[in-house]
Order: sequence, then structure tokens, then C-alpha cells
Amino acid sequence: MIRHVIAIVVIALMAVAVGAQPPKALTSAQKGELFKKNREIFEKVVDETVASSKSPNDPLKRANTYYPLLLHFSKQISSANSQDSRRVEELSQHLKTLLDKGLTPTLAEAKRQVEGGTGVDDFIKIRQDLLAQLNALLDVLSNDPATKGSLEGAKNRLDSIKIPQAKQ
Amino acid sequence: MNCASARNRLLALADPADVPEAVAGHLAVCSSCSAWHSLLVQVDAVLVATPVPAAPAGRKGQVIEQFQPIITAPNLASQAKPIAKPNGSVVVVAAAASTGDRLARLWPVGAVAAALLVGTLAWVILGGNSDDGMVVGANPRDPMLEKVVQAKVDLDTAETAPERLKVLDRLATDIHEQATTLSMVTPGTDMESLASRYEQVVMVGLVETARLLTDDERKALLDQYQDRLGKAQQDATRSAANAPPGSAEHLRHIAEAAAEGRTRLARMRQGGAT
Repeated sequence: MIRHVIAIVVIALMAVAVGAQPPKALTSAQKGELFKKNREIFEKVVDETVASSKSPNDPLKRANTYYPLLLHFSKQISSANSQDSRRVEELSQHLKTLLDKGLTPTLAEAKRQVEGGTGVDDFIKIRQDLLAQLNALLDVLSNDPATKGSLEGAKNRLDSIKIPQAKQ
Repeated sequence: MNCASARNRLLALADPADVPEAVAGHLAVCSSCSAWHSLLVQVDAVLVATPVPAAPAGRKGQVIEQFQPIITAPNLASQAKPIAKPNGSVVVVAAAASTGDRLARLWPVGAVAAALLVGTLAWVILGGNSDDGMVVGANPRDPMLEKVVQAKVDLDTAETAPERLKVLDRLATDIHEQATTLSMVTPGTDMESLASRYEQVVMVGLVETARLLTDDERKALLDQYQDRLGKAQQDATRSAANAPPGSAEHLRHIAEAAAEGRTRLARMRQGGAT
């Protein structure tokens, strides 16, 4: 009986050790495949990051660098839509990160900077363009309520950053 | 101890009447085996007492025939019964194993099933969900894309030039590492893309951002970025030596950009014009 119990315990411990192994990292070939697939987006994000670095004291210009990104992500998400739901989910999550953690605080900073001064018209136009592009993407995602819902939240937070009409 | 092992031990004894303690314990609680043992002792006694006759021709075959397997109905097999043969000899039919005994013999199957269950639970709890979500599967996520997205966000929300410099340095390092990784698998356009972006990040991003540092910040920070660019130059040059065509020239491009960036930072550090 004891040997049976010992055997079970040993097998169970081995199974735990094997089962608890972390997932293997991506191989070079897999990274290569992913880079091929995402190269255009990679280039666009890096280009706009470098563009942002040129305007450290101009948040409105930095906010404007999100328009080409939004456009490019929309195209990629639209082309993957209904064919590759996993890719739509991945790109949407990245876009949500860009909107929530990058664009929203940058636009809020731009609002504080232009409010009551020059650049209000530029602020309004850039904000409208961004929201229009985001609305176009949300229309495309009408058949994917979960993704649409998460981006709608980001859009609402962006939409809430506005300059009061009286000050325009 | 189960019935089968107890009876096997008894059969192996030279004298079945001399029962070992381990078997005696089983006989004390198992009436079936106890009856079987009594019969065994009787058979043994009869065998010992039976005179050995002179064997006529063909007798050996007849004896062997008496010990041929006897087929019994399942419902009669639960207890050992002596069967009298026409010639008066006795054959003891061993009791068939009970359902419990049969199940007991399947313990290895149970052990494997239990181990698999424990392993699966461990995988789900400890290893099944990676933090970065980059599990290798049918559709793994692209870690490089995640890094550049994070760099964009971090740069736009950085409040000071040193913070921006740190973000750009990390982005340049990530691009360089990606180029080194992919140099053996995707020469050509992909490598060209990585090398040109590396140059932009270093020459336009890093160097131009460094210009916005105060003199004190330059003295405190630029040495480390120069060192990192120097190391990037060396690594890229070394990688280029082993890289296939289509990758080697782009790794050299990265090495040149790193060297140029390092030179410009060094001039800035010394307070000279760039």
C-alpha cells in the first residue's frame, strides 16, 4: 500500500513540475512572421513616436500624431475584421492603449495649453478629426460588440475633453 | 493483503499448515480464504499420506490430465470447492478474484489519472496564463508591437527631457535587439525597415532630445547613453560579421547610426557645437 501511495505522490509531483512550466518564448522564426505581418504598423508607430519627440512642448502637435496612427490601425482592423478575430482583438487592445494612455492625456494637456489663448481652432479641428476617424472605425466594428464596447469607452473619454463653447 | 495474494503465498509454502503472520491475519478476517486454507491443508495431508504406486506405462499422462483447467460457472467461482474426479483424486479450484480485487489491480491507471488532474490544475493555476499574453499558440501576440506602442504612450506622457531620453533609448535598444534576432530569419525588407527606424530614433529622437537637457543634466546623463550607443555599435558590428547578405548591411547601418549618435552626444557632453 505504501509503495502505491509513494508512486502516486511521485507521479503527481512530476506532473506538477511539468505542468507549471511557463510557456515557451517565441522563436526567432515566429518573431519574424509576426514582424512581417505587423511591419507597416510598427513603422507607423515608430515614425509618429519620432515625430512626437520633435514637439516636446507642443501637446497639440503631439496629439495630432495620433491621427495617422488611428487611420492606419482602422485600416488594419477593418481588413482583419470577420477574418481574424484574434488579430482584431490584439490591434484593438493596442489602439485602446494608445487612445487611453497616450492621446487622452496629451489632448487634455493641449486643452489646458490653448484654453483662453491661441490654437483653440486647431484644437477643435484636431479633436473633431480624431473623433470622426474613431467613429468610422466603430461603425466597421458593429459586428464585434466586445471590441466596439472597449473602444467606445476610450472614445467617450476622448469626447469629454472639450473646450467650453463660451471660450471659443 | 487481498485474497489472491494470500492464497498464492499459501500455495508457495512447503507446509501450508505453517502459516506466516501476515497471511494468518488475512485468514482470520476472510472466511472464504480460511475455508480454502483448510481444504489446502487436507489435500496436502492426503497427498503426503498417499503411497506412491509403481507407475505403469501411460500413467504420467493420466495424472497430468487430472490437472487440466476446470471451467466453472462464474457464480460458483466465488468460493473454493473441492471437485472429486471419477478416479478419486481431488482438484482444488482457486476462487476467482472479486470485483474489488480486480479494481485494486488497476491502481496504476488511477495514479496516472490523478497525476494528470493535478498537473492540469497546476498548469492552469501556475503556468497557464502568462503576464505578457505572448503565449505560443496558434495566434501569438507580437511583443515588438507592444513595445513600440508602449514607447509612443510613454514618450507623449513624459514630463521632462530626461524621461523622454530614457524612453527613446529603450526604444532604440528594442529595435536593435529585434534586428539582431531577425537578422538570421528575415533578411531584406524587414531588416531595412528596422535599421532605418533605429537611425531615426537615435539621430532624430535621442540626439535632438539630448539637446534640450540642461548642462547639469548632460553631465549627469549623457555618459551612460554614450556607453550604450558604443556597446550597440560593437554588438551590431559583431552581428553583421556573421549575418547573411540582406541582413549584414543593415546591421552595419545600425552600427554606423549608433557610432554617429555616440559622437554627437560626446560633443554635446563637452559643450561643443554638434
